[in-house]
Amino acid sequence: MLRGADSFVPKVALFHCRWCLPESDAVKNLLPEHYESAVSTIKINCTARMEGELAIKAFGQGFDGVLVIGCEDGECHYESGNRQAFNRLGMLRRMLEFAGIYPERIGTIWVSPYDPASIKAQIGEYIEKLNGVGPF
Amino acid sequence: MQEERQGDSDRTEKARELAASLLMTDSVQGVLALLEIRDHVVPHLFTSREELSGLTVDGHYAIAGVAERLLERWAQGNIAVMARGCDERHLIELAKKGSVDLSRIKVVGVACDIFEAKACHCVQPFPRQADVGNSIGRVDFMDHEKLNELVSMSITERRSFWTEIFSRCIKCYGCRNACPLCNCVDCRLEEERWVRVGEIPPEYPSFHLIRLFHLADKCVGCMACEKACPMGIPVGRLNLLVRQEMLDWYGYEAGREVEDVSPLLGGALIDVADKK
Repeated sequence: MLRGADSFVPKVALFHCRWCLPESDAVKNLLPEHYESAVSTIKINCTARMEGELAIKAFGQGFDGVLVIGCEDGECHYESGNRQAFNRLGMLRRMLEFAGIYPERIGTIWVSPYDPASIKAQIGEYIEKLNGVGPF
Repeated sequence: MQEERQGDSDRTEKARELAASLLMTDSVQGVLALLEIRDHVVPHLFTSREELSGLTVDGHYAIAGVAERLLERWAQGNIAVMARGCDERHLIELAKKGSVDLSRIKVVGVACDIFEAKACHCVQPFPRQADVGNSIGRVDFMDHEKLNELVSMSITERRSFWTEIFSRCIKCYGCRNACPLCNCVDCRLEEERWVRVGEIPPEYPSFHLIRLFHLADKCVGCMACEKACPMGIPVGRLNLLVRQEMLDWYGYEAGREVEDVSPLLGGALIDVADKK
């Protein structure tokens, strides 16, 4: 089990695209062990739906991290929604950094739905990083 | 100092002349410029030549939002706007959003003098075409010391810096209201869903970061937000840093051309973290 030194379990708001990952329950199965209750899954139509305020507000509501999972480049159902999200979330990370918030709190994973093992590994990596920066 | 005053009265003279000739041609319904009232200025639509004795180019007011609202009020007709470089960039950004129709605006460009540019920590104190005053060209009056101070802090130091400073916020919405580009009809900052209503200081980090994020690809760096803040919160500093990031990573600068498309709306993938 992935845990910080003082058995801190980060709360994560996980936004996933409905086209690569249509079922929130399936996403829950990809989480590291014991993280089911610490992660809230939110299905969105496309990662382009990820406005900055969704992530910012999540921090204000007690989440320690925001993870966005969307389709890999070239696979967006709406052609370029994931590209918008990619640049936007990248800029959001820099912005948070300037404001004194660890950019690692925003995670992005661009996936192929046919490789759940890789998605699982990447979620694990993200949570490990989040453990490293501690509570919000 | 004497020389500066001389320059200012020349500029004002020139501005009044241009406004008078525009009003004579009937090509515009009025000239939007600043009116001097005792010790301050207000935006004013000059519609007759008799009024022009009150027109001034000194003093600062982000006037683009007024132009937007005037055009909105009339279904047709044009106006002239006495615009500094930042005002013109605001108008370009507003046109990008579809908020103003630039074909209805005749821009009369006002170049800032070196004193004004310094006071605003400006880097581009001139419009595309300087009709009033002489452009001093690109300068760098940015407050690098203050920006570096912020950037050189550790992330936890920055967190406490902003937490302390944002706790002064009285949520007067001055930063938002002063900004011509914060012109959404429904503002997230007023919605309970995003920022708790009736709470002072506003919750961290929603209020300030949502504002910052919404302006990421729009801010032209005029610093009207910071000047408007009655609590002395250096909100503009975050905007300037983000503006610089947009330029460094994407080569994008708000206010340049109406045709430019923000990289936050798609385009090439550039991983900001990769380039660090």
